[in-house]
Amino acid sequence: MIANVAAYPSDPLVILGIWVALFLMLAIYSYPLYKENPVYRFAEHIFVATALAIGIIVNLTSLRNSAWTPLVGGNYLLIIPIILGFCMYFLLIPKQRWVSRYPIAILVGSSLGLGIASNPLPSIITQVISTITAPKAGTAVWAWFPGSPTGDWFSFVFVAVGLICSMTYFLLTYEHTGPVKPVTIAGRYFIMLALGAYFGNTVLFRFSMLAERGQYILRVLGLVPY
Amino acid sequence: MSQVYKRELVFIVTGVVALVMMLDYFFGKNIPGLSGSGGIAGQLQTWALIIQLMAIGLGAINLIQVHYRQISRKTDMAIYSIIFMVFFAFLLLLGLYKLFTGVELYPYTWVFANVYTSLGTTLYAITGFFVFSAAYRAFRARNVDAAILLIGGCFVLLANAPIGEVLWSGFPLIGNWFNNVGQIPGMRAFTVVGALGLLAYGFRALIGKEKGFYSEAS
Amino acid sequence: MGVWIVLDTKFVALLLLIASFALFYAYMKLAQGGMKIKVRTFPAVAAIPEAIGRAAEMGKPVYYSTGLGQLTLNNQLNGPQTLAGISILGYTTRLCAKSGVKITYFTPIADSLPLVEETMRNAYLAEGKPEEFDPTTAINFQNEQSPYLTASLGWIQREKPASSILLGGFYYESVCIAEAGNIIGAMQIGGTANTHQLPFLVATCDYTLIMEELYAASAEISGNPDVLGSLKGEDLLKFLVLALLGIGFLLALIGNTSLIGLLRL
Repeated sequence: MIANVAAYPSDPLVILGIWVALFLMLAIYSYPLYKENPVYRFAEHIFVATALAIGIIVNLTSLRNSAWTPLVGGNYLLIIPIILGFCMYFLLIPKQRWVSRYPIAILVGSSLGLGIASNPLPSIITQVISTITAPKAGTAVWAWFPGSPTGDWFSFVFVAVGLICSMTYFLLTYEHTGPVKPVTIAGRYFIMLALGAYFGNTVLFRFSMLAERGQYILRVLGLVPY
Repeated sequence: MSQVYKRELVFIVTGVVALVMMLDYFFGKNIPGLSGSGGIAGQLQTWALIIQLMAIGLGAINLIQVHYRQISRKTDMAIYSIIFMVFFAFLLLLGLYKLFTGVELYPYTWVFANVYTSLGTTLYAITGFFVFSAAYRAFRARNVDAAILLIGGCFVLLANAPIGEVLWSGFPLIGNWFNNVGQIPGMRAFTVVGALGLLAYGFRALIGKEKGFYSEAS
Repeated sequence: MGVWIVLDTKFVALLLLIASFALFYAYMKLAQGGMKIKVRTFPAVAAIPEAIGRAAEMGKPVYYSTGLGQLTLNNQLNGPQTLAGISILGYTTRLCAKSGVKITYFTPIADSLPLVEETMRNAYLAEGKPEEFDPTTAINFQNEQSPYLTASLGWIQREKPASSILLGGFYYESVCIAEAGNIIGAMQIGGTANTHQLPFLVATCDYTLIMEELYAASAEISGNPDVLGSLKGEDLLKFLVLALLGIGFLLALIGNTSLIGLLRL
């Protein structure tokens, strides 16, 4: 007996829905499996239209909750971002396009300000600290040899040397020639190793998602329990 | 002078907003009226969100113009643009009905579940096809870089896949080492240099030296 | 009113930030004063004119995108990448306008549209061809990630662009768009500061801008000595980090943790 398996739908509209979803899915997959074709084009345009309409409704709902309701409730300061939001539309008036720069200034100022301020700590200082923290901090390397977990020390040296080489590879105002060259070549190899490992991690995950879509086909066709 | 509000003032606004955000990050809790939802920084974040939400209309206008152009010029794509327009108008009306009455009609729910959500999942999974062909392309290149990429990728892949251990018990061991240690130098270097690049770029943008943000080209 | 400054790791980060800005400023001034700054060649940047020239020869358009960018300029990780991508878009559009090549920019970021349109319009203006700029063919917006991907894939096979340029804050769409470009034989230039997409761009593109190279590319393109000065400042910061790593590493080997204590405060 199979537990917790939903029964195949009986409502005609629900059945129509899952078949439409299947058709659209196959229409989209016809692209990588065959090539761009009228069926793909149809699905593409339906999807773009759907996402735009739903996006507008979702944004209007959010605007009602985050701007309009608080505004009529007495938070009159919110009139400023609403006006700034409308300023974006001055893009459509040739002589007044410059007005649309002000809302952009708020967005860019906010992202650059936060990005600049919040980056040095986790992305530079923490990375340096993690790299120079020995397997057992406060104990010298010779106190650990021999008979100690040399694997940890090897990893520590590997990471530190690898990071120094990889960072040298990124020097912008020095050509990769002369004494720097071997270091940058080694740096490039460390970088390739990182990219390869990331690739290996992702391939399986992506394929499992594709396999889930394959299962969906079988479920709709009734070949496996729905 | 008359042009000051078109450029210089824009940079002043950007700089002031950026400065508020930086002060909030470093001294937020210690400066009264700066942090929290009622503070200046929090207010600016809300403003930015509202501007962001309102911008979708601009995108919609662009997309409608693109499709109107196809239809008016009777291009090969005109029929698909008509499909776009009709479907968009139909769904927008259903959505507006929901927005103003609070009642979600069944066609809206049906399209949401069977078209929007389903196609979203489908597109996310389409990467499966492309990741494989990209992997093949990367691994086919015959140089040292590609060989290292291949070694790292294969060991990690076989460490994650159950078949790896069946083939050779060393695969999970080496693959996990690549995952936990081997990839760290490269990834850390990316993080550090990315942050340094962002600092320099942000500095240039804030003082008006970056062409991408209403600067020299304007 | 509480104490403004707390001596912790965040304070060290603030000092680093102030030191960086001081370095950038100093080197920009030195460069303005005549100091020669030589920037390493980025093959990806050098390949952009080649990509446009290829499109002109083949009579085909150019595909350009700055990626998902988390759908807004107001994102601390992706906003700057989108801006950097738009900087290079201005240069690319100018080359296209000069050679009479059609360029189409795809984006799901609605709030970037004023910036994009102005950047592209200015590029045509700079080449003396403002009348040739048509936003309905040059800019293509789709709401959200998957529709943007679907439309990009469709357009790429229909229009068969000679070159495809992907520079910005990319997510899963990167590998799909780049592979679609490979299928039609487009010349591809990619770049991102999102580590999770780098392997795919490196694997699928002919040239790649990795991490900070994306930000530095526009400085190299501008060729302005003072802008290049900031890159020299960036390299000095790199030497500072390398010195911390080197000294910290040697101290760790002898069991000394004083540098870690200093950084943690």
